[in-house]
Order: sequence, then structure tokens, then C-alpha cells
Amino acid sequence: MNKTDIQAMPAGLAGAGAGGTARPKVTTFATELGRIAAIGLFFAVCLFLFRSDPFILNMMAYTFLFAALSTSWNIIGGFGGQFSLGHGVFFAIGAYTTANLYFHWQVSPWLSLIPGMILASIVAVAVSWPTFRLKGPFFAIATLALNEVAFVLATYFDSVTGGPRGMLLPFKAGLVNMVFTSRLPYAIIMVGFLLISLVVAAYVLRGRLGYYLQAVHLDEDAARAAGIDVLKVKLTGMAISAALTGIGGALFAMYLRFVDPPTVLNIQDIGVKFLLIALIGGVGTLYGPLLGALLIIPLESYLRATLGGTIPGINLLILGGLLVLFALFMRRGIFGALQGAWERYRGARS
Amino acid sequence: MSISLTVRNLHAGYGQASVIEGIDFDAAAGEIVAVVGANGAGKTTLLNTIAGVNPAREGTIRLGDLDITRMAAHELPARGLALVPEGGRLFPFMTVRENLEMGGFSQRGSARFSEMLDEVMELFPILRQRQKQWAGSLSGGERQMCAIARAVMGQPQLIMLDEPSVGLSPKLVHQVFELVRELARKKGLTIVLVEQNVSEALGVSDRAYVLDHGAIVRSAPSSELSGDPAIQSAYMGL
Repeated sequence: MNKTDIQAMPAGLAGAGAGGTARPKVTTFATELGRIAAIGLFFAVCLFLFRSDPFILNMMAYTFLFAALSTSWNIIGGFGGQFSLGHGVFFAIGAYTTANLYFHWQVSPWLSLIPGMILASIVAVAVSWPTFRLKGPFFAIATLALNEVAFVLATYFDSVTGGPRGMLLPFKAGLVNMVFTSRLPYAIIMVGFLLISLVVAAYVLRGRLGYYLQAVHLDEDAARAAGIDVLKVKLTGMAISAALTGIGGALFAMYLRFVDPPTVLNIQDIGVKFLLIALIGGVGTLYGPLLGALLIIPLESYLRATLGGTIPGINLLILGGLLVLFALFMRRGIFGALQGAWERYRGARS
Repeated sequence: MSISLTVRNLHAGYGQASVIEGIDFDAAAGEIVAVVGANGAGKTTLLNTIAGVNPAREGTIRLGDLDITRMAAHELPARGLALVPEGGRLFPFMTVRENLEMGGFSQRGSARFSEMLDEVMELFPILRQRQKQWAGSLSGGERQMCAIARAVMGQPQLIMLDEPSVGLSPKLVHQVFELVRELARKKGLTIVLVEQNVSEALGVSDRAYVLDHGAIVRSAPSSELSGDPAIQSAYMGL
């Protein structure tokens, strides 16, 4: 193999330093648990401070939700290097499963998270089985097509999805129904979801599966030669990622209390958003997606609130511009840039 | 511990093209066997077919008493067969140590994991020094050693090396081949190596096959081949 251009690598992997020849010490799962707990504590304080500001709470709920979704996408998309643009489908499955069970049979959304996860995983494995034969951009395009197919199907089968009219979920406030009058409980639920996805991602990354996924990402043939069942590893990563994405869809459905194809199967607002956030934050790193969401989602809702009325679509324009800037100057995302700065600082001190 | 490899009437190719046409090939337990030949003779295809990377169209491949003709590539390390692909194919953004660990993750390797790690570091002292470095930052020779060490981590009985000399200076080529010989002797492994560098390959191996246009045209003890004027003029530039 030729000398690999370290800068060309979109963000690092695992510990992800990649600046020099020495690699930063790889942390253990226990260390990451501590860090995740600290993050949770910090967000709890934020929620407490803004507990009576509905605008900020709404923004935080969305930020945490998308941070979690992007973290989930990152398991297969970042660690495993399989650039899925079809995660919107798993998101929609979670949303529709929960919405249907709640709407028709009044099943508590807390319970319907489980069938939603399972269904999302099954569909993910079923559609990934053939698409994983494709590599790189071909895989990405195939998964993009998946999202479009799902859109048409969801519009057509209106007995399950309510078709183009969508499903409006009845407002019956209560913890069991996951319906609240205030935005605070939603924001708390989203933080919970974020912490869960971070823990799962850390567990995967620091375990055997994480190494397998990274090996598959770096060189599939070499992974095979090392005795790794490449297809099985990809499918496992995809199933875990899709299950978490399904949870996100369910929470989104209960927060909005409305599900229709243009909302949940929207390519630019859902399907591509997960990887956009991960790319900007630092794809393949544990905390990159979180950093990306902390930047993108508040920025977007601010733009929508201030300029959305006068210049519709300005948020997309600015997001696109940001992505170009990151692709040009911060190939390893915010996380990579921060890590580089930290290493330079430490290098300068020693 | 070593194991024999028996290939009978093997056919393989890609799409319309038939690359290997009816090869019979043996490696006895503990033997170092070289397969030499020019570019495009089918050497890599032969190894990849044995390793399960591409499918055999006809014929049988046996590892000891086990028929491995239809086994997938990832199943073979667990059976004791390891492939060191051309150029080493390390995982560039993992450390040297992590690369070695990847080799030892298989069921077979994990039994004596830390012991093996010590052992390969003993065999390849340079890797101990480099263990915390990115594998992508290694030099060509170190990379090849790391790839071989990664294969050894899986505790194989037979190692197949695809062009270990590629991209190395003549001095390094010699060094890598010496290490291969030492490895085979110390661990009693069977080695199958495919090479364009005919003189080095014949120097290290017990027996060799000459492959030309997908068929075996000669097979003899290496010492005999390296003294053969026809081989010398065709492959060794003498």
C-alpha cells in the first residue's frame, strides 16, 4: 500500500489524532463513561437554567435529538465507514411504529420504542444485505434511493401511514403517553436519548466490534485476511445504528405529535442531516457528532427564526456554505481541529 | 505445528477471463514452497483462490485433510491458514500494536493472545519499538514485517505470502526473506510464497513451481532450479 495521506483521511478513527506519527493514548470504556456522565451533568445544568424558556428548550430538545441521531449514524457511517444516506428510513420506521401503536391501540410510546427498534434493525439488515456489496459512493447512492422509495411507499400505504395527510396524534398529557404540556420533559428525554447513544457508541468503539468496524473501514480485504467476517460486522453495526435511529424517530413523533412523509422522510432535514452533523463535528470520532449538533442545530433554528420568513431556505444555503468551508479547511471536523490545537498546545509546553 | 496444502486441477478467473487453468500444487507440512513467474502469470490469483478471496471454478483445495475449496476468506484463519496480502495491507490508522491485535482476535488466536504478542515482538524487535506508532507511518520493510507478524498472531499452521519483496530495496528483501525462513524454522510453519524476485525466492525455499500463463511449467527443488540455465535466462536476468 502506498503511503497514506493522513490529511486526506476524513477525520481520524477511534482515538483519532493522526497529526504526527504517535497516536494519542486510546481511552477505555470506563473513561468514556465518566466523560459521558460529565456531559450529562452539564446538560442537566443547562436545562435547569433555561427551564422556563420555551424557545431555548425547543432548541435544546432538537439539538440533543439530532446529536443522538448523528451519534447513532456515526456507528456504521463513521466507525464502519459505510456512508448511509438511508438512515431517514429507520427514523421513519421508529416514528410510524410508535405513532400507529399509540393512535390505534393507545400503547404507551415508552413500550413501542422496543418494536420500533426491532423493526428498524430488521429492515436495516434486510436492505443492507444487498447494498453492502456496493462500496463507497455507490453504497451512498443506493441508500439515498432507499429513502426515496420509502417516501413513495409511505405516501401510498395510507392505512398504515395516513398517506400524504399524515397522522395527527391525540393530545393526552401524561408521562405514560409521553405527551407533556411543557417542553422541559421532552428536552430531558432527548438528553437521556443522547446519553444512551453515546454510551452505546463508546461501548461499540472500545470493544471488539469497534475494532472490526474500523478494520473494515480501513481495508476490507485485509480485514478478511485477518479472519473478520466483513458482511457480518457491517450488518451488526448497521443493526445497532438503525435501532438507535428508530428510537430517535419515535421520540420525534411524540414531540411533534404529527407524522407525515415530507417531515420524517425529508432528505435534507432528516436523512442527510445526520451525516452532515457528523461531518462537521468530526466523523468517526465519539464526540464529533455531538459537537456538530451543538453548532448546527442552534444556528439553524436561529436562522429560521430570524431570516426564515424573509428569505426562505436561507438556512440550507448557509448549511451548504458551512459544509464547503469544513470540507476545505477542517477535514477532520470540529473535533479534529480541537484535537489538533490541543496537541500543538501540549507539544509547545513540553 | 504445520499442515500440508494440496491443490488439484484448480481453475479460476475473473468474468470471461480464465487466469488459472488446471493447477496441481502441493506444499508438504513444514516445507517452504515458492511459486515464481512473470507478471500476469496468475500467481496472485492462485493465492487469492486458495485463500478464498476469489472462488475456484473447478478443482479442490485441501488443507491437511480438510476440504477448503468453498470456504470464505474470513473462515480460513480459524482453520490455520493465513494470507499476507501484497504490500502487507496494514490498517494505516491503527497503531502497530492494534494491527497485531487484529490478527489475534480470531478464535484461534485469542487463546494465547498476550503470549503471542510477546512472541512476535521477540521475532520482530523493530515492531516493539514502533508499537505505538500509526501503521501508516512505517517504512516499507517494517510494514511487511508487521503484516507477517499480524498473520502469525492468528497462530496459523500455514502462511501464504503474496510478493513480500514488492517495493523493498534489495537489502531489505533479503532481510525479510531471512526472517521468513527463521519464522518457518522456529515455529515449524508451512510457507507458500509467491514471488517475482526469483533468485531470492529460490534462495529461501525448499521447492519451487514455475507458473506461466496460468499453468505450472516446472516444479523442482529450488537448488536445482536456481542452477538451471533456462530459468536463469528467463527469470533471473543472468
